[in-house]
Amino acid sequence: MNSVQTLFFGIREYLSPVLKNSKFKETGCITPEEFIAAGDFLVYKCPTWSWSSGEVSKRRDYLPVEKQFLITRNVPCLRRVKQMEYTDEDDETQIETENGEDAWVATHSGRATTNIEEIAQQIEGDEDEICKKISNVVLYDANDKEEVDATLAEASNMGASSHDDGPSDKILQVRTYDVFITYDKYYQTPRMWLFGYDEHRRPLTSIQTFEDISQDYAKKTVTIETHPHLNMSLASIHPCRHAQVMKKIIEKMNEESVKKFELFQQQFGNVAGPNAPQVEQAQVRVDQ
Amino acid sequence: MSSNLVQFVPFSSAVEAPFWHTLSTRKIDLYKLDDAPQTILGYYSVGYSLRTQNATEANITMPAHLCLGTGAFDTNTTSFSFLPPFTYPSPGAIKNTNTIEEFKTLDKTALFRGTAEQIWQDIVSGAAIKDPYLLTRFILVTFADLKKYKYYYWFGFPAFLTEPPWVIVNNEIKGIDEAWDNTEIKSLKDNYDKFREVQSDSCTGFFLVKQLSNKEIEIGSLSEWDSFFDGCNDDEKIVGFADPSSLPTNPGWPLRNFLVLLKRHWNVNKIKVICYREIPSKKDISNSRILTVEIPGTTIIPDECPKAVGWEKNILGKLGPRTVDLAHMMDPIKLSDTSV
Repeated sequence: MNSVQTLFFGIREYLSPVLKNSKFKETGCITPEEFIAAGDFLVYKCPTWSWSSGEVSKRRDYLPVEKQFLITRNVPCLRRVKQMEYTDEDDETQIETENGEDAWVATHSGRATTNIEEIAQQIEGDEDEICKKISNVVLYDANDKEEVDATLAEASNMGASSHDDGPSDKILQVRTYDVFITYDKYYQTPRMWLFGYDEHRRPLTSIQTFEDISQDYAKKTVTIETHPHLNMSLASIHPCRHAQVMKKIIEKMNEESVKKFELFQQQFGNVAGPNAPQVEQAQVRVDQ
Repeated sequence: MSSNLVQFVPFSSAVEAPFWHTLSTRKIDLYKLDDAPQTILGYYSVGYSLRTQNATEANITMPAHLCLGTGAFDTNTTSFSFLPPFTYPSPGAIKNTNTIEEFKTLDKTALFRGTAEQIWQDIVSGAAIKDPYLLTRFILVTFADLKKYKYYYWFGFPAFLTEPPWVIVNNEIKGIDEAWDNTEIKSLKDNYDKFREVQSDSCTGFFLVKQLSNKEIEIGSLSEWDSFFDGCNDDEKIVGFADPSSLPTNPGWPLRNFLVLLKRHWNVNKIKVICYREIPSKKDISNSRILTVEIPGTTIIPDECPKAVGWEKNILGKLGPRTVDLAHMMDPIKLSDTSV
């Protein structure tokens, strides 16, 4: 099934014309040139991102050889979405997020009346959210701590040692994600991909990845597909609504007479939207 | 006093999934039954911890990862161009066996010993002064079960033991902001950034540091040792290294072989060390630590290769290989389950 689907996507992409003129203002779609410009800006603003060329056989000729897609690695994922959904003190956040999420999944929801202001607020409010998320981090229990200590003792090869562990120096075992942004020629938008590793650096299965994604979106707007530039399949956030949402945000921002380009960049950093695992968004987000 | 021994945080391996795919392709198309060790290139980044707002919560620290990515096999390019930003190269070799039995019975001690010998040769010959990244050489033993998309692997990161071991003077390991003022910290950051721009990636992980009278911090490469420290007293000499550890009281693994190099070439018995740590792209190096390490002056580093340790433990905390199962992302049958 998957290979048939991949083939279909491949043909569909091949048949779609490369977007030549900017339709960004009208539709929110971007050209490959704009993708490159936005990517360069992202790399400049957040140097943890870098361009990658990917597999030689999978190169797209409408993108420069060395700028096929963007990647940032080892982004810590601080909490499972599952954990977040059932915390009491998160009421406010939850509401805000839900509104934001509605904007992203309007395709299969009756509640399509998107409140742009709330999306904008959500972008601005990111900083607070991060703080909230971080302050809710669950640390591993004593057993793991001992493991770390044991490793250290062994490492120094000096036998038992009294390594006094204050609360401030535990190694936190977290899931980490590699995050990719590719250019989707069919939807003419950037597209976000996520590949996760567990606490022991083993790749996550798709089921495990979905644990980090709100259940409403897993398998709907977030699906497992073949990476366009690498030989691997991984979670991807479906781009079908990126263009509309980006356009709306730009319209809103234009009213506030902020430069179009910068705003677009900001949105570019937020392409993941609320669907993304709760990775440390400071690294995903473009700092304004 | 055993408590002030320097305890080094070992590397934990972090293999990116595409690496295994590349290994499979190369095994089938290129190596076939040839199981001779192949050169690969890994990388590590500096450690950092994120502060939480809530003061009662612990800081979030990340383990010291040694990573292998898609570009790991492209070792004929000398420019390290594939390395992700803010990372440092680490040379290694992969020994991929043809059968699981071979993987089990392979004389791993000899392989490990061989890798340690290479590091030792680079230290003795001075190659590691010109390209200090040779100090972080590692070995990877693998077996790829191509039909089941399952990989068995075991990393070794050889580090030399010294007898007696290095101790932390006064058991004091300070945050950089406790030891230096803001002007000096900024100068260190700026000049180290310049150093990284100018120098090859093979030597930016280990460097020399000097405090000038005007609060400027000067950075130099190891090969400049004599001229750089000309006229300096021993207690004015500082060395720095990009530290993958993020624990406040423990420097990372690369320091271990670095100290052996210093002792061997310049008979260093006591030196101040900067464990350089930064939050990537945040221009924040406040996680960096400073300590002074010492070894009794009578210690002699022998001419032959010293004893080395450093096999990675598996997830159970025991010395043993790890496995990774990639069927969920490579097996066409399983893939069909997750497709929409």
